[in-house]
Amino acid sequence: MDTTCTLYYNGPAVSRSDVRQHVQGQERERFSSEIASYLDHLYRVAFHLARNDDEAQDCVQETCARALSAYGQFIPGSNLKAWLTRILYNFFFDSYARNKRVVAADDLVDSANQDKDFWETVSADQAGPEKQFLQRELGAKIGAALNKIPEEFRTPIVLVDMGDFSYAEAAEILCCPIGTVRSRLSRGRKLIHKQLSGYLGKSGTER
Amino acid sequence: MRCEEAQELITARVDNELSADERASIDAHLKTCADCALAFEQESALKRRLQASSREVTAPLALRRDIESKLAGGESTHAARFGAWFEAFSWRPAFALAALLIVAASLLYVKWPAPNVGLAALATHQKILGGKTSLIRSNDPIEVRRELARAVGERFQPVALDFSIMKLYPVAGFIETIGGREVLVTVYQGDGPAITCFTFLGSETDAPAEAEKFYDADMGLNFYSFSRDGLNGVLHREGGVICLLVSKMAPADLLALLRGKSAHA
Repeated sequence: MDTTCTLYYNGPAVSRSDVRQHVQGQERERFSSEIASYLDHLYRVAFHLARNDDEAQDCVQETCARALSAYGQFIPGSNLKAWLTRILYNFFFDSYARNKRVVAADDLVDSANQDKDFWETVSADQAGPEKQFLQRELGAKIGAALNKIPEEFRTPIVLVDMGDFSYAEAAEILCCPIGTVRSRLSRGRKLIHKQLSGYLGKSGTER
Repeated sequence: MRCEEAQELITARVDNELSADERASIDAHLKTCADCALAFEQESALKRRLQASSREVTAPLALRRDIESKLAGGESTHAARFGAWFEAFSWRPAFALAALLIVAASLLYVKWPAPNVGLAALATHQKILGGKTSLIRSNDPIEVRRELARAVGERFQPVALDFSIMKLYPVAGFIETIGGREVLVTVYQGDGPAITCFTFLGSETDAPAEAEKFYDADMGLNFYSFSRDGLNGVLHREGGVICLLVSKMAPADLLALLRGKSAHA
């Protein structure tokens, strides 16, 4: 597995000079438009990485600014979503992640609600305001559980489960081997599951 | 295969990231190991929940507008940062065109009367019902209120309404500009006809000319009721802030809700 920090690219080989000649007026406008189409995705990833709105908004603003500044470095036809996410992750890591308090992975069980059988109450297909309310509350619980796990385990979950990236794409963004993504995903999901055990019922699965 | 070895393969199986051989191997193990089969089901359920939870998070409207404005070459509230945006692109012709459009839009604005907010609100509600409006859905109604108030510089904030007794809950909020005025829109959905609440700075003249006027002597307040195309609106003023409710709900019921809200304000 190549672990060098190259920008994610799965298209045909294109030289940098070819790229510069290619990127002209309309292409730039399209580039801006494509960036705008990923704002929800970028904010989603930033929000789950930063765990607060202000830092998430700052990350997205900076990502867009840097993407435009580095426009000439983007290879047309390659994976813009992954490229933008890589910029965002690098900015987040340099600006915020280094200063975050690390939470101990062994002390993550939320015992306050052990008696609830939340997931068995709420299934994804249920409608109605009460069920919608419960689903929203479950979403908040999941978000809280995600926020408590260490960044090294949270990030692969944010990229793969919430960002819809493949293991290979997540590995490129994180600049690590695919096997590391897989092992951290496995560990991270177990940590979240452990925290939500009070909401999962006996089986821990949906009905 | 030992169960310890199976754990990461289960994760990759959930994500459909296995080769054919690996998949056959883990599937064979899952058929014979109830604990690992349960772990697979649990992890699959968790992934679905994480995905569903994630879809609830969308970029705040103010952030979206700010960035889209910058991407289009508009004004920036972060001039220093976005100096880089404009270094990246040479958009002087675009600026000139934008300036012309702004001048033209100003002329049109002067020439044409501003749309009535009450009637525009009916149209907005209809678009929401038809799924033609993108909504910022949120788990946190307080945060939605705060976000909307922040977007208008805290000059005013959405009126706080509790329709939980009717099983209607605030699910989304956004800002709409009508006739050059910023209108805070909060969407209540649940069991029964949805209600959209519009809050803005205005006067009682924002009620359509056709609106019926009711004077509540006990409260000393005027209420206005109007209908069009099966949608009903009721409006009243508190100081300089207008609260307007729009729904398919019967006008009398809407009026009762608004009067109840004012009685507890």
